Amino acid sequence: MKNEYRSAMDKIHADKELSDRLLEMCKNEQPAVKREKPRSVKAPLIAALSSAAALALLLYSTVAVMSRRNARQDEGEFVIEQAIVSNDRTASDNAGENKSGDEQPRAAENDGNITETPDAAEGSAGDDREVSEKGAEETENGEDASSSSPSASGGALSQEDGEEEQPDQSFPVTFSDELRVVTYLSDKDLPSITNWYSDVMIKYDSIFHFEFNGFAKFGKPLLANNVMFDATLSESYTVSDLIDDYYNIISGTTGVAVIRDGRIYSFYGVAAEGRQIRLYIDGVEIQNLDEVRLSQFKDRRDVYFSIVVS
Amino acid sequence: MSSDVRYNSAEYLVGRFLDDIVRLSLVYVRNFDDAQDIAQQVFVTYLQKKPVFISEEHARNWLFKVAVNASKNFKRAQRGELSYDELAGVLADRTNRENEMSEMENKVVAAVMRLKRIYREVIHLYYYCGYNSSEISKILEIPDVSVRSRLSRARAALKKEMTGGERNEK
Repeated sequence: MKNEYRSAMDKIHADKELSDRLLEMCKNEQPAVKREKPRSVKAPLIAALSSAAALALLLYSTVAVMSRRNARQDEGEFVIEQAIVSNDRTASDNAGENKSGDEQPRAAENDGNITETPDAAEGSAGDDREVSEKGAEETENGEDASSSSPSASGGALSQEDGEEEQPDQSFPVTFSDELRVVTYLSDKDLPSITNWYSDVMIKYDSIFHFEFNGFAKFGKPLLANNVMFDATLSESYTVSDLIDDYYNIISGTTGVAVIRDGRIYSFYGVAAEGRQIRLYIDGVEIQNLDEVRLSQFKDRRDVYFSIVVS
Repeated sequence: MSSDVRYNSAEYLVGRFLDDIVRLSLVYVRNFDDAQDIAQQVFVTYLQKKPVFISEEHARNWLFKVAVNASKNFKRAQRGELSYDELAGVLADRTNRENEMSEMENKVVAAVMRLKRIYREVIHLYYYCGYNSSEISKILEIPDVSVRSRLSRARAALKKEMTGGERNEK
């Protein structure tokens, strides 16, 4: 009986007129997604960046991460809402030493995910948006800031201990200062049949800048990486998920980092003895990784992650 | 990590799912023209929202869910449901002789169309679309157990219809 039903229903078709009309309508619309970026692009990608502002931001990001972080701490204006515990002082031990009122927060910091604290009347949202819209001009300010305070790097996040300077060639994650394009969809984030209908998928088109400190003690030194993050993930995807998946994202190989309650217990099979691991996003320490959704940063062009193992 | 983005192309989705959506809507509204209107509305909704799908199944489920909701919300007062005989006539006009439904097929479809809407929908989603009860519960937003009980009752009602028992028209 079900075969007859199927067979009968298969014989019912929409009118060609309707089909043609819809196709015509669709042709006049943009497709939902336009992508297919190369998996790994280095210098040519930079050359291909059509936006001067984007290029300037990229250069800025590789040169002046530390000084920007310091600038933000000096101004003390920004906190991430909700689950993120704002603790600018812990983000950088040396932050307090480098107060420079001339430095400007970079444009990307001023989107809807970051809010000013009540005492941040100066440089209020309106002003910041204005700065944000200036793009290249803003970037120039950032470069000036970096050149004017070369020693402004935060202690906790710096690479001064030299650990990151000794790449282990046998380890897949050793490239530095490369812009990698990653089209990424976490396997574990594939919606199951139970949430296909309720899960909102978020499209990212950002550059994630990763910086590491303290991983050499595991025999796995990690250098800074810049990742063009082209991903579609569920709205519930957290920063913790991102850190867990980092090794798949960057190296294309499966790595395992066991992280619980702010401590790392295993790293690529090496026992980590529950060492404390800290994550900073744009210099702000993130304490509740499981509660911070990555979607907070979906509209950001650049997001700076610093991961420190003590 | 799939690089296949066909299912995020509106044109592809129309070609792939338009007929299925018309059939699904037809089960609800029992009026071919209304079913086509609903299908059009589904794709208009798609173009407005432009959701990003991660697989063809994801796209299919999303479109079907929109179709179900649109069908439920459809104001039947506009044209009114056709009796199955009228509907069969309309469908016959749209099929050529080679594709004409056999007597048995006609009888089965007629029996399904005479069921209550809550039974028609589960029968169609289960037997035609191939969803299991858990998936249907997500589409219809009803408990899994309700889906199974409705399926069971629908089968019983269908059996009555097919064997000439009393009708269970809406």
